[in-house]
Amino acid sequence: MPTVAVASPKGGAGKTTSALSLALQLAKQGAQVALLDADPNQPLAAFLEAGHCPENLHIVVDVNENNIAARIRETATQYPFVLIDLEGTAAKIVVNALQYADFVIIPMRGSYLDAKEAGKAISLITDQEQAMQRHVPGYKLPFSVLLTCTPSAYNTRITSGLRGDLAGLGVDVFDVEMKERDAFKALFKYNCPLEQMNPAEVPGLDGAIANAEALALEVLDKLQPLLESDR
Amino acid sequence: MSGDSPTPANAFAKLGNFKPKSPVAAEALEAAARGAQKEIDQVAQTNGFPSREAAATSPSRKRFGAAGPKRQLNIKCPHELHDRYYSMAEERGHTELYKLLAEALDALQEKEARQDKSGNQ
Repeated sequence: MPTVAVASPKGGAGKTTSALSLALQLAKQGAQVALLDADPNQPLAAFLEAGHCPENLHIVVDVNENNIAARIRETATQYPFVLIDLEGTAAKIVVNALQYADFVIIPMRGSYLDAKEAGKAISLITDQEQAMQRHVPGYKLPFSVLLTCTPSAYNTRITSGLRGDLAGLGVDVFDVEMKERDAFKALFKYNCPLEQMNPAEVPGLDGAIANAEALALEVLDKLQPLLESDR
Repeated sequence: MSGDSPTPANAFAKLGNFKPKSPVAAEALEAAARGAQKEIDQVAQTNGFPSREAAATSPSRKRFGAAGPKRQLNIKCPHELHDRYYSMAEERGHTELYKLLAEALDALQEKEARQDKSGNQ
């Protein structure tokens, strides 16, 4: 049912890592998942070609501004979960994807510079929501900010400050953070799920798996209200 | 907040509640998106999210008067004919000399055709 867009106009915010980790965890739990690679650099193509992708995770790499609506429509009626990894620029493809999204995850590194860029995504979502409301009364496009690449061992004052500031602005922020971990970087070296990596080669696998599972659980919690609507 | 705690058993039981979108819901969302397209395009423009797709290119139109490949034709001629040729080309506004030659050949063929016709009658 839910189509989840992972969007931020800032490159390197952790969109692909978050989207892939989330997709893999949902697939590991038995869900049928479609993951659309809507970045022209096709960061997920190598993962797909490596052949370690779970059978119930369908990665689509042929996605662009002109066909993204059709790709979402095709997958959303076949898969309970559709995730869209969007490119890290302010481009029309982001707008086109948000038109068909039910929820938006905005990954953001724990810095005020990144917060400014995330603000552009929030402003876009808000404006887009208002535009849709003129045609669909009561239309909502919920979103949450996901702090990424934060230190795995401690919380920084900057991160805590950001959380406070975002909460003050009424912006929902995931409790879970995608921590800075070698294991997440290894996703793009070994092109296989965390669970298939060799602990001797990749440190901190257990922590990364627990981190990714916690993200998947919190995403499910945030998607729960959608079950009550016919979206 | 770290998300490193072990995941409780059955934590993912709610996964089964999610189903693919019904065709009716997908169609309703698509209809709404189509209806709002103008406003959405405006939102994209206002927020600085322009199209970055390369525009489809159409074959470039040939410039008016452009011709195919050319070959050199070197002709030695008397001085008077040379000057006459240039002045006739100028009078007719030709910027390319071969055009006067083409006109002269066409006129010659027409003349020959007329002569043939009158000879046959």
